Amino acid sequence: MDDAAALEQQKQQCIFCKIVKGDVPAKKVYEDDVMLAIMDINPAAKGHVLLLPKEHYPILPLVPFEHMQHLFEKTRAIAKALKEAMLCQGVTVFIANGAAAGQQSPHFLYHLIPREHNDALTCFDLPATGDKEANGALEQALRRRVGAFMNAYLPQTERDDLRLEPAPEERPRRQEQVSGDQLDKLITLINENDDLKDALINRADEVKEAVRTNKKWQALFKGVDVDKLSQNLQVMAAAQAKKQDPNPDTNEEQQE
Amino acid sequence: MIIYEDKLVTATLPEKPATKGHVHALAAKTSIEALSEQECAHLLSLASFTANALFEQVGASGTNIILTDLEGVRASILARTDDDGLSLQWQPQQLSQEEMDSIAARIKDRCDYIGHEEESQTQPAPKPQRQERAEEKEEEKKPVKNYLLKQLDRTP
Repeated sequence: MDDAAALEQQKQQCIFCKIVKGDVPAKKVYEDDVMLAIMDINPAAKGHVLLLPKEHYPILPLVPFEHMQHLFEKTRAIAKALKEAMLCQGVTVFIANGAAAGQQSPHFLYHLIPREHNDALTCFDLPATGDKEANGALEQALRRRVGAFMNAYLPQTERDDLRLEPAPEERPRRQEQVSGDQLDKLITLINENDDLKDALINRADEVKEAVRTNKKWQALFKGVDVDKLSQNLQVMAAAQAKKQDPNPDTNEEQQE
Repeated sequence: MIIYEDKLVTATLPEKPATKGHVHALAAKTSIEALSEQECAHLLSLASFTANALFEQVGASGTNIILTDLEGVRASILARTDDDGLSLQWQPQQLSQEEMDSIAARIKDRCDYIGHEEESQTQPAPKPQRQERAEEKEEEKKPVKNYLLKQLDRTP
């Protein structure tokens, strides 16, 4: 029997597919085109709800992306409804993939369980018995794989804005660090102080040294590229000189 | 040891793992209802992707995701093997039919609002954030523009 035939046979015998069709009764608390929420008949706590896709998928990794997103989005609203109905302090979302993880149904589903601080559900208190070094050895591989998954995921949900800014050393430094106010202040200061302007135009190295060694100057020129500022001032000074005396050569000729 | 981080969620390897193949995922919110629908899907998707990665890397037989919002919103993602010694099975409660019916009715009453009052509350995140970012970008450009304009103004 091939996989498709085996899956079809599994569907035929699946109790949850029968619940979806209405052939087997269940206490439905929420239903839409994609999913169903029903009361668990063997609850871990009062108000224990099962969430399942209407289509039969054996495990979560086989649930198509759109259906998975729909289930996960609605989890929030159903959890909120559960909290309001049961007046509980929290909820646990419990997902099991595979028999080794405690999956009991061949139809993928997951649990929403009302929780209280210090309740009897100690099964969710995980022991600290694992091998830390063996777990730590997974770091690089997990970073690479999870990063790749999320890099593909964020654009699909149009949430590229959730990405962190590049690390400080990767940032283009100067322009981003200069605020408009700071630049205005600096420009005013330069325009009011001919010595400073002269130093910037003609002795940029001295200014850079002062910025490096003097805290006040550091604050004043924070994020500013002194060389670039010096070049700009030189260009402006040259342009200004030219305007005041647009064509010195011609004037000289006329005088002559 | 952080294995993934963005503005909403962080996934780390715990100091005291329960088993080989244990990852914590945290959301920067206080409860599950403080997340938007999309943010809830974002966190659970991260958990699901991490479970897949663990499954591959550990050669596991199964995976668990246990997300609880009693103290912040945090999830444990576990790679499982048949002989790992963990038992996450609870003792089922015995409830009378009347009690089951009454609880189901209460929950259904609340769930009936889903898609009505929720709509306006659960989609707030993307647009305002994008606007903020657009404003930030404008602010980033502003100094340059101001600077150039001011130089032009000063040119006689």
